[in-house]
Amino acid sequence: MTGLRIVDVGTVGAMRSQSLWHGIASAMSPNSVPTLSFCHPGEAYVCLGYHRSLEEIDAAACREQGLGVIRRQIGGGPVYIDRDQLFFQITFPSDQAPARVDRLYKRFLAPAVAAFRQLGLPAQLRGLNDIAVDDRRLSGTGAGQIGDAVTVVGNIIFRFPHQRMAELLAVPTDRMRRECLRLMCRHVSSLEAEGLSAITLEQVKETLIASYSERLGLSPFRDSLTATEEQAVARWEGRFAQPQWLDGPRLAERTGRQVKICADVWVYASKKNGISIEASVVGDLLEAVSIDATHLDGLAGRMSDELVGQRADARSVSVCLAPYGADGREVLELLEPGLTLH
Amino acid sequence: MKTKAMFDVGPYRLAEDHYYDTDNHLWVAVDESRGTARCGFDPLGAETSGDIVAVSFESVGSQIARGGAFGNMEAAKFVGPLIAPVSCTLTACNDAVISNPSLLNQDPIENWLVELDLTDMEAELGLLLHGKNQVADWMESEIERFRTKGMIAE
Repeated sequence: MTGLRIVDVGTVGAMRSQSLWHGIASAMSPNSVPTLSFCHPGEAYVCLGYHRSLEEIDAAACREQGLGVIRRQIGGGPVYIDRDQLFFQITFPSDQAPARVDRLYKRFLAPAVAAFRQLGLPAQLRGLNDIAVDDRRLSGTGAGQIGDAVTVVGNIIFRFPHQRMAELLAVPTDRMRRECLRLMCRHVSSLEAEGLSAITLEQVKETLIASYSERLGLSPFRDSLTATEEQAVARWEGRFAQPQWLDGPRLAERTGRQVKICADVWVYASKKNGISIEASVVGDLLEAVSIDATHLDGLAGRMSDELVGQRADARSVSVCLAPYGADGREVLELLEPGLTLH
Repeated sequence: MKTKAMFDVGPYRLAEDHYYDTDNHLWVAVDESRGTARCGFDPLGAETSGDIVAVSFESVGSQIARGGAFGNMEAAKFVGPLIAPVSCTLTACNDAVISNPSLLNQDPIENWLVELDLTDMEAELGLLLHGKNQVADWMESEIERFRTKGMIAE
C-alpha cells in the first residue's frame, strides 16, 4: 500500500477555496503521491465552469449580495458557494488515472458515494457524476486535467439556499426563475434536508478520508502544502483575478437559455417570431411546458398541455405537434435545441 | 484541404496522408501548397474523450511549443488541455466545432480543430507517425490496449 496524502487547509477565502486544488494539480509530477484535499469556503461566492458564459449569472444580483465570481478550470455551470459547503478534491498523476472520463468519475467518486452511505444516506452515482439519493443531488462534482495531474472535485452540501441560488441566475423571465427554484428545491438536496443536520465538517472529512484510503488501497497521512504548491496556488490566484480569465474563452452562441438543475433535469427557454416557450425536462419527459404566442389564438395553450408528459426528444415532440401544421413546426423548431442538455 | 485517401483500422477510419501524435491521439495534416497545417482528434482520441460539449482555443497568433496546450476541451464536466503535437503559431480556429462540438465525435478526421503554421516542420513532423502501414500497426496496438483497459468497447 502506498500513501494517500491528506491536505486540509481548513476555512479559507473564496479565491483560496478554488486556487488550492488548481495549485495542487499544477504542482503534481508523474511521481507524486495522490492527494486528497479539503477546504471549507469561509465566504459566499459564485463559481462558474470553464466553458460557460458570464452572462448566465445575474451580475447585478451578485453585486447587490456582495458576491464575487470565480471561473474554475473544470466544467459545469454556475454554482452558489457558501460556508455551508465542504470541498474535497482527489488529485492523481494523470498517468495513474483512468483516461476515459466515465471511468475516472466511477473510480474517484465511488469512495465519496461510499462515505455518504457510511453517514447513513443511500447515496449512489446518478448519471456520470452526480452523487444523489434517488433523484436528489447531494454533491456536485467535476474534473479536469491540469498539468500532469487529473483532479476530481466535489462538494458536500450541509444546507442549501435554493432561493438565493435562483436569484443569482440570469434567466429571461421570472417564470423561468420560479421554475428553476421549484426544481432545485426538489432535486438539489443537502445533508440537513436528508436528516443529517447534526453532522459536523470534521465527521464528514474523517469519513471521506477513511473511504478514499480504503477503496483506493492507499495509506493516509497528513501533510501541508509544499512551497512549490504554495507558489502554484499563488499563480492561480493571480490568474483568477485577471479580467480576461473571468471573461473566459470564446464560446459558441447558444440558442435559448438552458439551466441544468442536476443530472437529467433542466429548464429551457427560447423566443422567436413572437413565440416564447419554456419547458422543463425531468428524466426523459417534458414535465412542464409553457408556450406564449398571441398570434396562435389559443392554440399555444393546447400545445403546451399536450406536450406535457411527452418524451423529450424531437421525434415525440414532432408527432405531438403534427396536428398543428406550420404552427406546430414553428414550436418544434424553437423547442428542439432545449431537448438536449448542453 | 482535401483528404487524399482513407483507410480503416477496426471500426476507425483514418486519413492516409495525416501525421499522428501517438501520445495525444491527434493528427496533423500538412497542406504543402499553402505551407500550413491543420490539427484534429484521431478517432480513438475522440471516442475516449466522451461526448465533447465544448472546445476553446488560444487566440489566433499564439505561439505554442510542442507539448503545450493550444486549447481545452470539455466532456461530462471534465476539462482537459489540447496538447500541441508540434510547435506552431495558431492561424485559425474551426468555428464549426466551437459552435457544434459534437462534430468532433461524429467525424474527427473531417472536423479539424485549429490551423497552424509549423515552427519547425522538418524536425517535428518526424516525431509523428506517418504512412499507412506504420499508422495501421500503431492503431491496432492502441485499439488492443484501449480494449484491455476497458476504455473502448470490445
